Amino acid sequence: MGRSPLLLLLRNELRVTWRTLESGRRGRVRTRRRRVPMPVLILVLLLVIAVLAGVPAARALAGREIALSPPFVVLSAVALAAIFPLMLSQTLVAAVDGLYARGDLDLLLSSPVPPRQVLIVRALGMAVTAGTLFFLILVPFLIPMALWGHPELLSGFLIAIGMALLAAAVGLALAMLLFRVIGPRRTRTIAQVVGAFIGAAFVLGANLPNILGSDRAESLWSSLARRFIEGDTVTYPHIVEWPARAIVGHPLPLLGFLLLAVVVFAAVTWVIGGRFAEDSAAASGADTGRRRRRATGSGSFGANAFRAMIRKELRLLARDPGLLSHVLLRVLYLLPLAFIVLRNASDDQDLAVTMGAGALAFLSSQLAGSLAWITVSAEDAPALLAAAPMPAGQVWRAKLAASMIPLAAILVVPLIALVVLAPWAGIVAALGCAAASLSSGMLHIWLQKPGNRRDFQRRNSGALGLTLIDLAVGAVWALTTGLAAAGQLWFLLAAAAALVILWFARRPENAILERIGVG
Amino acid sequence: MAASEFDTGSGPPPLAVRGLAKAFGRPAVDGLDLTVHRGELYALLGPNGAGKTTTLRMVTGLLKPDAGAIRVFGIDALANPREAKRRIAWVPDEPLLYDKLTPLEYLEFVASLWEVAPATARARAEELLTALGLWEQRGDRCETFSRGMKQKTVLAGALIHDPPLLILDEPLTGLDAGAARLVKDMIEARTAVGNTVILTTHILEVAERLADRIGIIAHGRLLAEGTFAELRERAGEGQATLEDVFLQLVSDPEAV
Repeated sequence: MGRSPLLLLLRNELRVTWRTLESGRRGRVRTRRRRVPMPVLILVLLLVIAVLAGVPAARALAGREIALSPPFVVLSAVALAAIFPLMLSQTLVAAVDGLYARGDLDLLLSSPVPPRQVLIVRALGMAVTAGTLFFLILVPFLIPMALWGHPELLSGFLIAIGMALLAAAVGLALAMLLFRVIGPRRTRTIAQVVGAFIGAAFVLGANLPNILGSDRAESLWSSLARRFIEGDTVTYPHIVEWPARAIVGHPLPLLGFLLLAVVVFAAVTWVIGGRFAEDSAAASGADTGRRRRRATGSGSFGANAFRAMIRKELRLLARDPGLLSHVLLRVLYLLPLAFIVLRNASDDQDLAVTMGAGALAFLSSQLAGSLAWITVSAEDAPALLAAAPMPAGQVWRAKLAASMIPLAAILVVPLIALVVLAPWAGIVAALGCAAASLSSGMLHIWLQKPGNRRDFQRRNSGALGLTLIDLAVGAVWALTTGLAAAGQLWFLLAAAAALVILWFARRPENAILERIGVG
Repeated sequence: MAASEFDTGSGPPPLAVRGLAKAFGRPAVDGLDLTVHRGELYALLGPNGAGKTTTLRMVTGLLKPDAGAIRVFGIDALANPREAKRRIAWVPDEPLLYDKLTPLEYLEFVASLWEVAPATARARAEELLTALGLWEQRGDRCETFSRGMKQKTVLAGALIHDPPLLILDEPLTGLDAGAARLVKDMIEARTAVGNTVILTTHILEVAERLADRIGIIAHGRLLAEGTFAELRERAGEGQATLEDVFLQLVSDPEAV
């Protein structure tokens, strides 16, 4: 081999990673020619953000010294603490997927390239995937700031690279740990669930005071903001200053962090590299392993096609914990909100309850949309259902009902609690949640686009119209709910707006069938 | 398995297609006329892109024709698709099923769609899974199955409601020799008791050995139709096998 195998693999990995980012699906080559190449689109988007936000921010900062004030120090530390779990959740899932799903592993591991090098390259690919988004977000801000007199802020890019390396290493180590502890068969599912929880960890952590209960129910954010506004002295250990110092380019914290990232990355890939080949072989074996279920299920679906369809959908949902964890992640975000609403309802704080009721309606519409996408669009055997003697409308109604059942189970407790504590707001919130959820479900029937359950997280790509209309209808129902909870008659106008959008989005059965290729 | 509950005696044919047409930019099916008789095994043959699958998808209600009429046991399948579908089972060439269900659950679900009584469904499921060698795997999730096992599960699903008209698109793809033999035996057993089977296949020996009548389709049109002996006669002397007849007809349709 003329070139270094490491470089060759790295080039291939980056090419695959780029195409994955470009197509939104790993390994799929886009056949439809784009009018505007992706790099040009990204460049234009970055320029627009730079002109609208980056340059004004840079000009405001020009000529000023960036002081290590307590708000800056605390916000820097908090921001990095928020970003890292997001990166880690990505790399953990990518690490496990890399073990199980990548078809090229057999090829690479059967080649003369040492497994350790394969792992290093794979880990670098994960770091690139996890770090690209944050890197790109920094570009339109940090480059103008560097041009307007603060070149030291370019160290933000190095921090993004370091965090991505660290996230890749920790994600890989966590994946291998799970692999060793719970075995190859369950690692994939558990890693998806753990990844989802890690992604939400910061939001949950920041809202712990709300969830656990304290005299003053505040999130970390509102607590910090209040203390800074009130001029409280915020004390923190010296180490908390390091992220802020690294961001403004102080050499010791910056180099210290980069060194830490590189050492951890090297150590993890070195230690794991030796076992990588055998673990990946075990993973591929586990994927074809048998999983026995209860074999006595006589008549478990009954003879009623409508009920059978609902049961089938609920069973498929329940048996896909990875998918379910992604859906329920939204519930994790909803939990702090529910606590805020309930706490303020018990304290008779009208504004918070009003806004909270609206937000609950919006989040329930988003949750309903996710569930409806799974039941309606991600049907595994569409030909079977199309060939069955069950009208398409009945199939969709059953699927809609199936998507509403888990949602109702999630919302019933907080809504009942709200009705008890603040009856009017509670009833309005329940009605708002029902209207928003049903609307989202119906939109997913009218504008459905066949997909695959594995593509759940990429379901919005290629369905921009549905995504936007769904967001708009959810937002308008949220407004309706909020206004009604506040006793404002304007809610009638908002409700009418939601109904008008739904009216225009409505599609007849034949058009839907034609759209999905049946008929 | 006995003749179906939809046994229509000597009534209307299981399938009668007249002037069927469908275009996807260019014509895929172009004015097709086809009649399949009761108790018959009809093989629809043709080169890739000839319009076989499109025809069958229209018959099963998966695709709406641009023109033409489809009657299933005398029922207008376009006007009353639900009644027509109750009499048909369709096995696509790609075995798509629910990975997270077990084969037993899959069969019970399909039976529910066709409103088969649970007790009957369970008994048929056991019979079919046993016959297809999947009873031992009845508790395993389909995600762990090979393509052949999935294909057999889908076939069992098609038979669970004992359809009088079974339509199979490339049913032997992905099956090992033993499983293929099993499927061929099941197909023969169904026609022996008066049920009707239509199949497409690229394995011409299968059509030659099993089919009562063979239709050869190309460019969306029926080029020739008849028993193997009739087709051989029509294609001229020296055409010994169905493969010879098929290649001759497809390459030179004017000679027919």
